[in-house]
Amino acid sequence: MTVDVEWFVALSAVLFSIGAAGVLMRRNALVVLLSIEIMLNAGNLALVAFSRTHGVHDGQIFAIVVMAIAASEVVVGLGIVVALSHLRRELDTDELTELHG
Amino acid sequence: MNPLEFDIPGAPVEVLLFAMFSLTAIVGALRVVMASDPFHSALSLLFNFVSLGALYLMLDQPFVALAQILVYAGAVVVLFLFVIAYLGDRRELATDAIRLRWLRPIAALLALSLATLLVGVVIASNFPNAVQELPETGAGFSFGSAQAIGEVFLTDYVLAFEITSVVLLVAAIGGIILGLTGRARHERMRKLMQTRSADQQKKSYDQAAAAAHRDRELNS
Repeated sequence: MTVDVEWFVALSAVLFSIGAAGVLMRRNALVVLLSIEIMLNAGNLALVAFSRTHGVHDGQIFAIVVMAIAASEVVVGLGIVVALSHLRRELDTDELTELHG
Repeated sequence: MNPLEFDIPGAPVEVLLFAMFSLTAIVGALRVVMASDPFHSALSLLFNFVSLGALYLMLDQPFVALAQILVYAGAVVVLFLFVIAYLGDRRELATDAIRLRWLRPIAALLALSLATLLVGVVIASNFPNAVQELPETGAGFSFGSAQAIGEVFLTDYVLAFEITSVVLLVAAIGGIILGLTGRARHERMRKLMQTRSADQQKKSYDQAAAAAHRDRELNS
């Protein structure tokens, strides 16, 4: 492996920060969900890189479990988005204050 | 000899590939965050996922790369695109709030400092070099193959496997319940909950019918 593991982990850190920026800056519920996917994927990349470094399979198992959880999260998140769009027209996370959060 | 090994001094092909795919991953992620149209965001996410899959292949893990392409690029992005197309009227979706605008630079600054901190920690820390010889599993399957993943998953991590399947089932049921609307949702929820006994239900139906009858008589 010519490329050191540092590079993969640094890339994963950069991707995680971009996803965090999306969650913090965007107010559209759909784009917030997409940004969360970027963050989960960044975590996966770090897990997979360390799994390769140590030559063990545990990191890959974690990555696959994270994928399954991310898929469940997308299903429930998009279900909430669709239900919200039936109740009211906007999907602005600043306007959705029913729970007084 | 590896057919991929070109003779570029100082730049082995792996470094070039890593640079290329990390660039597409970062550009895709940035486009997701920046694009005003959610449709563009979802399509840029596809770029990000596919380049991450290629990076997983570079890390000698074909099964995770395959799962990445199948699950993320194949299912998650398509689901997002379906929902965005279903909701329609993208211009309305694209409008971001005017309120709290002044918080955005602070959020950007926070994210930038997080990136600096994380990358700084990665550079400062001393990771061990990657093992040169990839080990085989107990049953003799090669590293990263589907068989090896299956062997580890169904022996050491069998509890995680089972719990994941339950989580997926619950998420599927939750998705169906959330997707029901109006009358169908009401009926389904009542059937699921069974909060009222049959007698009470009949009584309330009778009351509603009597009220409707009264209304009709008053109106005529």
